[in-house]
Amino acid sequence: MNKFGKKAVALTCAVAMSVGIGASMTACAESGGTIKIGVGVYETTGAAAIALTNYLDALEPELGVEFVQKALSQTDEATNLSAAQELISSGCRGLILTMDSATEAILDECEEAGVYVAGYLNSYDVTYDTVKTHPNFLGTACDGKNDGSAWGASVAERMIADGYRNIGIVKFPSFAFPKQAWMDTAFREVVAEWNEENPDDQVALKDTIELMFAPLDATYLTQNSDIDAIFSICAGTDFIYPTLVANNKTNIKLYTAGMSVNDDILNNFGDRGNQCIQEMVYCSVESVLYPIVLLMNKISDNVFADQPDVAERLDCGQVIVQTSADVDLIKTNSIYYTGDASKAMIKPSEAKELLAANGGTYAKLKAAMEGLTIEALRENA
Amino acid sequence: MENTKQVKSMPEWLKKALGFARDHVYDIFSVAGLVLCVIIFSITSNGRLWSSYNVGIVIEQVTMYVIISLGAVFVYAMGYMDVSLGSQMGVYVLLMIMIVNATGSLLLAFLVILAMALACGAFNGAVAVWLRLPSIVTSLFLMFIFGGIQYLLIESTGSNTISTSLDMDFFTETWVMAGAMVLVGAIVFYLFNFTKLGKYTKGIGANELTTSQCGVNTTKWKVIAYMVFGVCVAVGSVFLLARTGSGGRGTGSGYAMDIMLCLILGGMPLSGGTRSKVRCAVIGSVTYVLLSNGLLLSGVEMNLVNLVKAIVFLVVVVLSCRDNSGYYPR
Repeated sequence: MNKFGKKAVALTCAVAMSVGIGASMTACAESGGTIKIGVGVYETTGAAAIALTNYLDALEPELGVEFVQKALSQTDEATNLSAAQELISSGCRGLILTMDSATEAILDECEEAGVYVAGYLNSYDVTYDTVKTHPNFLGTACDGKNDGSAWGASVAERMIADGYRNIGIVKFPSFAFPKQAWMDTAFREVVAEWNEENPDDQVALKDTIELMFAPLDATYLTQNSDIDAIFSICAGTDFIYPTLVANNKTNIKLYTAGMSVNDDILNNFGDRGNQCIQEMVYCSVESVLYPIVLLMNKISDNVFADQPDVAERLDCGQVIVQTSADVDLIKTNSIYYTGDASKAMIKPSEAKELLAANGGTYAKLKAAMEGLTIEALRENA
Repeated sequence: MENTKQVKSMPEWLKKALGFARDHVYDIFSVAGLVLCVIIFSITSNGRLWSSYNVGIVIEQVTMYVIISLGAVFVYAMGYMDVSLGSQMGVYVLLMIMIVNATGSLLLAFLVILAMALACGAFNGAVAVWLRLPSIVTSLFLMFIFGGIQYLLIESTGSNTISTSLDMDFFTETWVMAGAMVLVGAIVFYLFNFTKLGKYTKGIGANELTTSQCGVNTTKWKVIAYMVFGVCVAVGSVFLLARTGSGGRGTGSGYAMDIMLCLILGGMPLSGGTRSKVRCAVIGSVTYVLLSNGLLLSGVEMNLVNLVKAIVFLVVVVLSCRDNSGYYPR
């Protein structure tokens, strides 16, 4: 390419950039009279991200809100502080954050700017005790339950009932996800109780191993060749299932936290395909209404009469997927799989009823969040 | 013949202007990129770009990038790079928090990480020569070492993030950050343009063999260049810690790439040499921060931000990273 050709390429790129900026600006033009809320998300691609974006888009006209999304870093505090600052600078009066990272610095920044913060899919494990009384922190919706012990115990009961007697347990490091150890403990307690009551039908548990955010190493399967099932407290569809497939070990059943809408996973779930995956669990996107409602109430000076004095970390309902019929239900009737906001368990048109200004109460909001379960999905079908 | 006549008939000042433009065409492109960003975002952000709050956060965000990029000018001028930067910063931030929390002395913490940064600089500069390895290999080695140390440090705390108990608000005052940038910039400008260090680092980048055969101890100057970079990394780490007051297992990740992007956006040639300029660090860092800041203020959707950044980056590279004969990189 000659010099002129290269300059033409550069010019074309510059024009494309300008058109892109212009088009996006037109699409995102700020409308007067709406409240602007920034949403900092650590996941910007995939089914959950699409579902969240579509749900927020559908909520905008119903609630009179403009949502601005910004990517957060899962690792770097300075990036997250910069993201919060830029959202504040763009005119956001409230921030919804999915990461507990640089939280105190962000809250200091928000206090100076008169901006409020609420969490989503975030238990604020590191800073909750410090920030729960901060005047600009309103509360957070957990990714399911703050204490997932009950789910850990329920999985143990189910795995025993399904007949598995040699079980491996896998989780992320405790320093990163300290509460996964609680689920591990709850699981082991149920198994210990079973073993005590059934001396002739013992369940053998392997030592829990920690994955350093990398797939399960195949040597684990060699060293534990007798296991017939794995309880994965971390995202097993991403970190364990591929290893089982690659090593032709799909006869080992997988009960895992997390959810995937990948057809390769769903077609091998329950009694279908290789029948490897037997349980998944996720928190549905509608739980974002908790921080939205708290922020809108605060910004518009409407407080619930029954609002707690201390900012809460709220348990949200979990969609526990256990059968192929559940998978079919999710495929056809969930916003998570379809990305269709009209399939949400709390319809965008119903969301405004949760606001204090429209007669909503904290108890009603809490009940709505706790009700985001597979049963609600069935009723919604 | 006609063209020659036209040139001859040009006024002297126009000839000089055209000559200057021809000689500095790529520098002009990098400055023009920054100016273009400022003009476009001033319009598209409805003036928010210039709000006092936004100017303050841009200065806050750009400080660390400018300081580290200024140090990196010496390394990039030699045609090298240091991929261990992010891991080093992660460890420095964690160590500072631990030392400050244990002793209450920020000075002690700074001296410790400064010593480490200087040692890393010496290692990068000297070991690469002794083992006859490309310096990127030794910096890769350091990256893995520091990545491991960072993991061990954070694991020892039993938490994902640790915070400092020291009030570091002084370092986030706008005038302190601006002053630090000016001070480091002035020192680096002097060292790069008026001392042997700048002359030899550019010489190594232009042609190491020739520089060596001119009697220059290139190993010694490589080590010094990396050590100056180390000082800037240590100072930058203090400002990084002051911003967030915390550090974790991923602190610093991606910064090596960020600094490279800053320098390229500022017009720094990746092959180093005599075209390396201190201003590349400043122009590139401000452009880099403004891109992220301005795109959000202009309402560009999150998923398009990276695409737009990539296009801007491509344009800058196409326009600025060539020599006068049109070869990449220049």
